Order: sequence, then structure tokens, then C-alpha cells
Amino acid sequence: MMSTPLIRLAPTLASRNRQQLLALLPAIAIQLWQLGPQALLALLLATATALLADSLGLAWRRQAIWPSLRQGDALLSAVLLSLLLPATPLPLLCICTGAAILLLRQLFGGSGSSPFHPVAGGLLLAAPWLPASLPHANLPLTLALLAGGLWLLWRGLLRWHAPLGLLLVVLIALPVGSGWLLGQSALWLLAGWVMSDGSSTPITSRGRLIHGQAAGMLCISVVTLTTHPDAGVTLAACLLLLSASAPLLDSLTLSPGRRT
Amino acid sequence: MSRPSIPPAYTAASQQPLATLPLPAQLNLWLQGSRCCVEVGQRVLKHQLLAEADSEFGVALHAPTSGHIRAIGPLPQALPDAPLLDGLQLQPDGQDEALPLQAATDWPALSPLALAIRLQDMGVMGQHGPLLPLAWAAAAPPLALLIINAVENEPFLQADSMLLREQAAAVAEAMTMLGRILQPVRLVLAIQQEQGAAINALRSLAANQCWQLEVIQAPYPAGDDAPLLQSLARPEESSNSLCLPLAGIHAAGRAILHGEPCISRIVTVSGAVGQPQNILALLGSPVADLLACAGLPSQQHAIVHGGGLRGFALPDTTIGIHQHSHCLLALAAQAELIAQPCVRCGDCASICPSQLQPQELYWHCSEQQLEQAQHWRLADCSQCGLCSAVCPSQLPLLETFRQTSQQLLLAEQQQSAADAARQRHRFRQFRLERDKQEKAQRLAERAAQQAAKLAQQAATAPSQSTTPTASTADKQAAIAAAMARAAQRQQQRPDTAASVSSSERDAAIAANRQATIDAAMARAAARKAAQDAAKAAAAETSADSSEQAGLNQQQQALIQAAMQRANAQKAAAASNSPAAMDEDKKALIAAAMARAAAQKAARDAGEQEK
Repeated sequence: MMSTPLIRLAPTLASRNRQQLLALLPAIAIQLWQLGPQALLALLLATATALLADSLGLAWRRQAIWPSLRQGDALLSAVLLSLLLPATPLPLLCICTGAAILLLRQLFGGSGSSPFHPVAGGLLLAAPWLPASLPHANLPLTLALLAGGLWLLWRGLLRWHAPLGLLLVVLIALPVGSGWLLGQSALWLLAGWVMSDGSSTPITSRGRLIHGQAAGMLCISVVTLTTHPDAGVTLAACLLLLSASAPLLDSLTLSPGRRT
Repeated sequence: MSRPSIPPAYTAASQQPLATLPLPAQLNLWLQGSRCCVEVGQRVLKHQLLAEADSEFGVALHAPTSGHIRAIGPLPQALPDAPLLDGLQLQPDGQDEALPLQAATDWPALSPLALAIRLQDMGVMGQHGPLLPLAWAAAAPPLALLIINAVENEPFLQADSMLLREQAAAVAEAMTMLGRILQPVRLVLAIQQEQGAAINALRSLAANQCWQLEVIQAPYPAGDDAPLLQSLARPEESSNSLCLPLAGIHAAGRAILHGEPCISRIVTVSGAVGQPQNILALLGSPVADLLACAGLPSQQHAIVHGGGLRGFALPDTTIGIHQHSHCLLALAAQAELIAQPCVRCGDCASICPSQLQPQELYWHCSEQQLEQAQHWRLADCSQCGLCSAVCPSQLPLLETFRQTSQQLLLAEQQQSAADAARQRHRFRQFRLERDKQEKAQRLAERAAQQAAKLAQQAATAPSQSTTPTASTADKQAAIAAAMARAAQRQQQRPDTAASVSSSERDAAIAANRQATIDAAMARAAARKAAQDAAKAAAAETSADSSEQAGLNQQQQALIQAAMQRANAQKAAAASNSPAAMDEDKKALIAAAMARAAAQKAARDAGEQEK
């Protein structure tokens, strides 16, 4: 029996993921234009790996595969990883994608249950093999991502508190020399598509703001105080670290509210 | 997340005129806290009383049309999960033969309580129970603000707008009537900006009236009673204001001014039906008839009772509508929703009008942690359904909250019943203990008094006092026995006063009997004490007279009297001294004997009467 049949006032999970993918389309187009067919191959391979890994995990957990797969979480993760790791060898990309999905999503019990974002985990996994040179600012990609993010914001689908916290800190720290971070496409990808995820951030708006600010401060400290060049990897590591503190922030900021 | 607007397609007012439902083949009525006063097979006329309210929260039920009662018993009702509740099946005979309506002209003289009771008898319902809560009307507090709630901002609801468009004059009349009886300082009809046609219908009537029109613009759920009171009541009015539904006001007007009981209501039928429209239907009309009247195509549909956000599915279309059936929706059968796990998006918390944390609440409710659910303020949930409507994972939040609230309510009722029983038991124990102590004390006092009196008598007349005292005591015992017998007889006689409830009568009889027995016991104890005292006095007198012949008899008597008096005084002063205890024991034995005698006498008397 249908329980409480309702008018839906907000898009479902699958629709949200579809729109997040849609917002990535300009960035994907820029990357294809910049890197050519190799990027397309990477995208397809990463997607196939992610779907395979997700299905494997679901089958292993004895869950219905299709209803979960069609929500598009795995697809989104794969596209994000292929955008974050543009010039990596294909086997590395596949391994990172598969491992991230299996270890950081399915092992914890599927999407929504994992406290760590698989994309941040996958990026960190690939870090040792990434080129040690400072990645140059990719302005077209950054602008495309910014446009996609703004579109999501306008659609009301971007949970903006954590990204706002991060950007505030980056802007405040401009005198320290954090300006070059703003040109990094990885920063915008992580801010708009990873930090806006609910399960790896605190649930309250205040908690998310704190989460974003803490990630920004940690990331800028690491980037300015050490010689580690890659902002994306550093931020991913900071996000994973702070995801572990999300329950703490939740318990600090969540209250039943005033009794009426 | 900002409050999402409800798509205009759901809220557009229907341009269709009000339709009237043809007479259904069967009416399934719900007895809401009322006791049936008709029998199966009986023919009833339209407007005839079928059931009268049997509690403060029930309302009477009247026959919507003439016909025969086919069944009385549990029927599925249009409530979440369609529970089986007391209902009544009426088969119309098609003649629609009505009792004459008696319009009362005395209504301006009604007190608020009399009005509330009359509305209850006429079957006019408010949100919970009778339109005017009887407890409120009995207290009759000064009313600062009376709000008539005509706001319809839940998707699909149009019944109140239609009622205003069709019956604006009648509603205005009813409001004037209520204003005159309840005497509110301010009488306000609240309506939503979007209900344009209804506002126009009212504007022309609102001039020079005792009520004002208040157009609100806030989004759903601003039309609920609590937010409406909050937004319309000034701070000083908020404690003594009342919010009443429009349909109830209209029915109240019909009932008080025209003597017509509430037997029908307007229902919005919408969704995937051929022609969404508002239908005037008799209470108890089956849902299927209403849907057919609106042209439901034959495919599989989910039938929803209620508006687009609060509605719940009905498993069966034979269920009859009741006074809270604002709306019926037919939804094209959807692929079954598979709820995804919560992704902690937090949208439910940001949209909740009560500032709850629905995701926490949902977790605790689905884990059956009722205490935690209460801690997360389940009681403050107005069950508006917005959280369910925005949840991307399509979790059944509203349904879970509804079920858990129901469970909590049940648990609370059981708890209060258990508490009451426990308190009753404790009080009974306390009462028994107290009675025992009081009885013992009383007996001791009386015995001591009697002993003192008899000692005095014995002292003044030592030789001849024995027999008369004993005989008077005997007489007294006989009187007591007679009284006990009379009490018994009174008890065995069939009840003469029908108005006194049986428990009260029993209690009175028991008290009477107890009093009589107590009296008999006391008298018997007194007799025993008198005999003892007399015996002792006689023995002492004889011994004294043989030994000390030289002493003056009069002097001896005086000394003895003084001694006896002193003894008696001592006994009276300390009634729990050992001597008094002995007296007490003797008195108790005597009392038991007297009681047995009284019982025997009573039994004899009973047999004689037979």
C-alpha cells in the first residue's frame, strides 16, 4: 500500500544527482576540448569502473542493485574523479575510482552511511603518483565550474554553507598569499560538489559553516607552511580529516530546539 | 533552503459550479464518541437522531436521509490506516422523508454552554469533538478573539472557498449569531490571498458587520490553527482566543438558526479524475460514489483522503466520508516509492515550520525510541507533511511521525489509567486503615464514658442499680437490632430513587449499616461494662459491710463513690492505658456478638419479608 502519497516539493535524490552532473557539463566540455579524446576515454573508463564497483558492493551487501545504481551517486563520483585527475594514467584512475567507491562508500553501507566522501578519498589515494610540479591555473575550467556552481545555487540545489566558509577563509587569507588557490579548478570542484555533500559534513548550517572554515584554514596552513604544491590533494586530505569531526560538530550544534 | 512554493496547478480554484451527489445506495456513518439510539432494521427519517453523544468529546449523529438501518458495528473509517471503529450502515429508501425542522427562536438568550451543548446535539463538529469544546464553554472565559478559519493553503483544498462562494450570506449570518452569543471582543474571518472569488463574495457582506475580514499571505501551513492564532492574535489576546473551522461555523448557523442538524458537507474531488470539482455530499457517502460523480477513469488509482500534503491513502473505496473529509484525491498509480537512506541533506530541518530536526526524529521514531522522540519534540510536530514533501530520499517521515504520535498517545492513556488505578488502590488501603483506627478509638472512648457513668450510678445506688441498667442496656440493644433490621430491609427493597446511581446508593446503605452496627456494638459494650461495674460494686459492698460494721453505711458509700469516680476519671483520661485496653477488648467481643445478633435479626427479618 502506498503510504503517504504526496506532492513533491523538491527534487528526488536521482534528480539532484542528475542536475549536479548537468552542472558539470561545461567543465567536461572544456576538458574534452583541452585534452582531446584521451579525456573522453578516461571519463568512460572511470564511469564503467565506478558502476561496476558499486554493483559489486551492492551485490556483496545483498541489496537491490538497480534502485541504488539509478540514483547516480557512483556516476557523479566517477565524473568528479576524472575531472580531478585529468592527466593521470588510466589504470591509476580506474583503481582510484574503484577503491574509493568500494572502500569509502560500499564498505560503510552505501551512500548516506559513509562519513567520508569517496571523491576526496580517491583523490588522496592517487596523490603519491601525481606529478610533483605545481599545476598551472586552468582559467577556462575554473570559470566553467564556477558557472555550473552558480547554476546549482540558483536552482537551490547547492548546500552553500560549507563552500562559503571555505571561500571566506581563502579571501581573508589573501594577504598570506592564498590567491593562487582561487585559480585551481580542483578547489572549485571540491567546494561545489564534494563539500556540499550532506553525509560527510555536519547537518546544521552552523556546523557546515564551521566545517568549511576549518577546512579552509587547515588547507591554507598546509599549503603556505609546507612545500606541498597540490591544493586539490591538500584540501581533499583536510576534508577527510574534518569529515571525521562532523559528528562532534553535530553534537555541538544540533539541539531539539525550544519547546513550545 | 527557502520554502518551496506550491505549484499553482494544485491551488487553482475550480471554475466548476458546486455539484450535488446523487443519493448513494448505502451510507457508512461513523459514530464519533456517540451511542446509538436506533436498532438494526429500524426505519429512520431524515434528520432523525441516530446516536447521541456519550462523552464530552462526542457529537450526535442524525440520519442524512430516510431509510433503514442495516448494520451497527465496527466499520473501516476514513482515517490513516482505515481503522475499524464503531459505525452505522444506513440504506436509503429514496423517499428522503424528513422530520419537520424546528427553528428555535430563543437563540439570542443562549449561554455559551447551552450553545455548545446544542451544537453537540446537532452533530456540529470542530477540529476535535464538538465545535465549541464543552470544557471551554463551561468555564466561559471572556473571549478576546474569535477566528473563523477559512484559509485553505494546502494543495487541492477548495471546499471552504466553495462554501464561501455559495453560502456567503449564510456564513455571515452564522458569524453574527456566534458573535452575539459568545461576545468576542474581535471576530475575524481569516482567508488566504489566493481565494479571490471567496474574498469577493465576502467583501460586499463585510461592511457594517460585527466581524472583519483578514486576508493572510503566508504560505502553508499558515492556515493551521496554531500559526493562525499566532499571526492574528495580539499579545494580550493570545491567551483567550479561539479558532473555529469555517465548515463548522456554517453548520452551526444552520443548526441554531434553522434547526437543521449537520448531515452533509462539501468535498473537493480532484487529482486524476475526469472533472475536478466540489461536491455537496451527505455524510457517510462512499468515497467511490464521489469519485464516480467526478468522473474517475477506470484505471488503477490510489485514493487519498485529505489535501496534497497531509493526505493519507485509503485502502478501500466503500469507506464513507465524515465531517473532516475536506478533499478526496485520485492519484494515477505510481511506481512504488523505494525510500533511499537519509543523505543528511538537512532540507527537512530547514523547512520545518516548528523548527524541529525531522531527520533525528525520524531515526528515533523508526527505532521505536519513544523517549528520544519526545526529547526531539515529537509533540510539537504539527504533521504538516512538508518534510516528507521535500525529502530527496522520499522517506516516509510524516507517516512515521503519525504512527509514533499515536503510539505515544496510547501509552499515555494506558499510563494514566494505571496511575488512576494505583491511586485508587492506595486510597482504599489508607481508608481501611483509617476506619479501623477510628473505630477502635471511638469504641474505647465510649466504653470509658459508659463505665464512668455506670460507676457513678453504682456508687449512688449500689444495691439495686444492677438490674435496671442491664435492662436498659438490653432495651438499647434491641433498638439497635431493630435499626439494623430496618437498614437491611431498606437495602433489600428495590431501588426507590432511580436518579441516584447504584454505586452511591450502595455506599449510602453500607454507611448506614455500619453506623447501626457501631451503635449496637457500643451499646452492648456499655451493657457489659455496666454489669461488670455493678457486680464489682455489689461484692465490695457486701465484703465491707461484714468486716467493718462500725462504720457508717452512708460514709462508706461516699468513699466508694469517690474512689469509683477517680478510677473512671483515670480511665477516661488515658483511654489507651492497659485497663482501657482490657475494656476495649471486652467491648470488641461484645461488639462482635452484637453484630452477629444484628445479622441474624436482619436475616430473620429478610426471611419474614419474603
